[in-house]
Amino acid sequence: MSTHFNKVLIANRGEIALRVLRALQALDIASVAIYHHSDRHSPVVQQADEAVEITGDSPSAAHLDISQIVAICERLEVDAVHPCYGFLSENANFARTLEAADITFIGPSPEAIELMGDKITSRDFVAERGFPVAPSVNLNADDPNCVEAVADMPFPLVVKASAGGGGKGMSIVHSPDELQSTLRVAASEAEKYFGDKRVYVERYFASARHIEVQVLGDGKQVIHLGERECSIQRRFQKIIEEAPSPALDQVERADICEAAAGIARAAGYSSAGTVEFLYTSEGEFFFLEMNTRIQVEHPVTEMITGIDLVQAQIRIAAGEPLALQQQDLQTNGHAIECRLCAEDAFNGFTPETGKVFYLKEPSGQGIRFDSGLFTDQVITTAFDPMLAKLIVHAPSRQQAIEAMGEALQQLVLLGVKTNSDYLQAVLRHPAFIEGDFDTGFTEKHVDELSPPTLEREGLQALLAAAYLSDRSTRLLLDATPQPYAAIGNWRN
Amino acid sequence: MQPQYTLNEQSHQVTPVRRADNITLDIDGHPVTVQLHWLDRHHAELLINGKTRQVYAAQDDKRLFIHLDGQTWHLEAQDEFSTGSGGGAGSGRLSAPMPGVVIEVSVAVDDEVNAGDTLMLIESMKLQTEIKAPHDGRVSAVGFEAGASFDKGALLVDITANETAEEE
Repeated sequence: MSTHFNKVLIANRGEIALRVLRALQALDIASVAIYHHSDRHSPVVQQADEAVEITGDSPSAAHLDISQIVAICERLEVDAVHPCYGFLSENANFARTLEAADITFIGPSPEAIELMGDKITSRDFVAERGFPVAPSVNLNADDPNCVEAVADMPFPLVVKASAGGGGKGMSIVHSPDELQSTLRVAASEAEKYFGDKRVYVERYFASARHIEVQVLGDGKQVIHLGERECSIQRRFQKIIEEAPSPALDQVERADICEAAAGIARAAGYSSAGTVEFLYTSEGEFFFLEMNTRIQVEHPVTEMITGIDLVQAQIRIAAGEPLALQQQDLQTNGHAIECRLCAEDAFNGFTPETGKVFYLKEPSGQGIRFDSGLFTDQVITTAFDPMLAKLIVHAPSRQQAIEAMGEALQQLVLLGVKTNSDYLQAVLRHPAFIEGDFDTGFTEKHVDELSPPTLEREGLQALLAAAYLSDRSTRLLLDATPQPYAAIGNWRN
Repeated sequence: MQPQYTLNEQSHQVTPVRRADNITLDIDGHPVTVQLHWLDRHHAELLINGKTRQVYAAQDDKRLFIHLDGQTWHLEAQDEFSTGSGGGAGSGRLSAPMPGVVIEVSVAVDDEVNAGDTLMLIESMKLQTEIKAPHDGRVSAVGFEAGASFDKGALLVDITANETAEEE
């Protein structure tokens, strides 16, 4: 490999840290994992060439501690840092601090992070260059006249944090009376999460899709790698993503993908990035935001393009030009990703905690399981509820849906409640199968997305299995000699 | 004790009847003949009603996790005397509806509060929620400090209702 990094630090945890480790191994680059005490047994810590414990008031605080991470980089003579997603991945100050220490941030420039990280600035930037953005107004929650500023906009509206993104810091407002209090809460949340209380109000399209486009830039040129359909969401968080989108025809696909590449090009973008759009039922699309990092759902693009996006990020950061021209891009088949989350999906998606007593990963042709899960892992609410991602690739969308259903059934995770049954219910829903959905899917079909039921024989099998696997029964069976059991003394 | 298992708030009874080559169980009043062969510590083959099914099982004290035919079920082995009742309506015990983190604590033990006062700001699922006093009273317990994380059902704040009128 011609890359000039000798050692890269992975500034993250969980499935994505392991995913980046695989890319480093493939490129023959030495790896450093950093971990909070609670993750000390995780696979990335075991498998990285070096692993360093980080400390903080909370596990998240440890992963956000820039000076601690930079000090580790310097001590271990790390050439570059991969931030993955979340934590410091879109923190321009982190990128700058690394730069000042002569360490490469594997991602775009701090300027690009700042431009796109601020939702108000990025929307203005995109609109000024002639790309479509949704109608919006910037507001100050402390301004007593702020409700009047949106007098011309039709409800519902969505309040978003300027420093937000990825579904965080968003609330829908249905009437003017709710606006003031929602703004206040949104501003306070925004200040707490992002240290920036600026919010804006955007027209909310009740029946729109969320379609995003993967781009790759090397600072000189930008190409797109096609779109991802990410409309299946709960609480503004994606749970099922696929590529390509079943909604676009070839002309629309070309339009939206070229717009995305154009926006990234205007920003002089380098590294992997994602341009997110709202796509309305009238076939219009509007720029929402650009994410300047690797996305959770990047595998669906990798599956249909055959391009390893994390390796591409590393090569670009090392100064290599893009290996691919736009006209060389070929996509093949259909890929779907399901996010496996620790939650009670049929009961308001409330987070679940527990311990991984047993794990059997699904496997087979076209199946990929990106996970940092391990046996005896304690699942807490200290981190995001996403546990793993299951990705399938098949020749057609229909086949991919079927393969995903089978793979979810193959996956065995005992000890913490997950949304697997819910994901299976979505995959079986006729509207999903038809490709007829928008970001309101999970709310619209809430009554039809019901927990599985058992017919009588299934229930008998379950109860028999429960009884015979119950530790107290096993003790009893072992302690009771067969001849006595056979003549009925077994009854207790 | 008759083994009982709760599944989705429904109670089911399993009674062992007979054990020879097969095991006969009485499940919710119906006799069923089964065989279970363990393939490893968690994986077994269950022969029941003429069908072989793959079973994966794990147990955490009274909680049983069973994966059967592609779906995972959570059952609770019941204690005969467990009632499972919590604080009734009108109680001042404010328990966590879901796991989360305490962002801010606005009251201390012995503070007098009025109905609707904000007691605590918590965060679950990336959303902040204000915990408010359900009635007037005195704070008798604060379960957590700011920054602490809590599990579902944990006591956040306890408010004891004021003794009526006597002090006034």
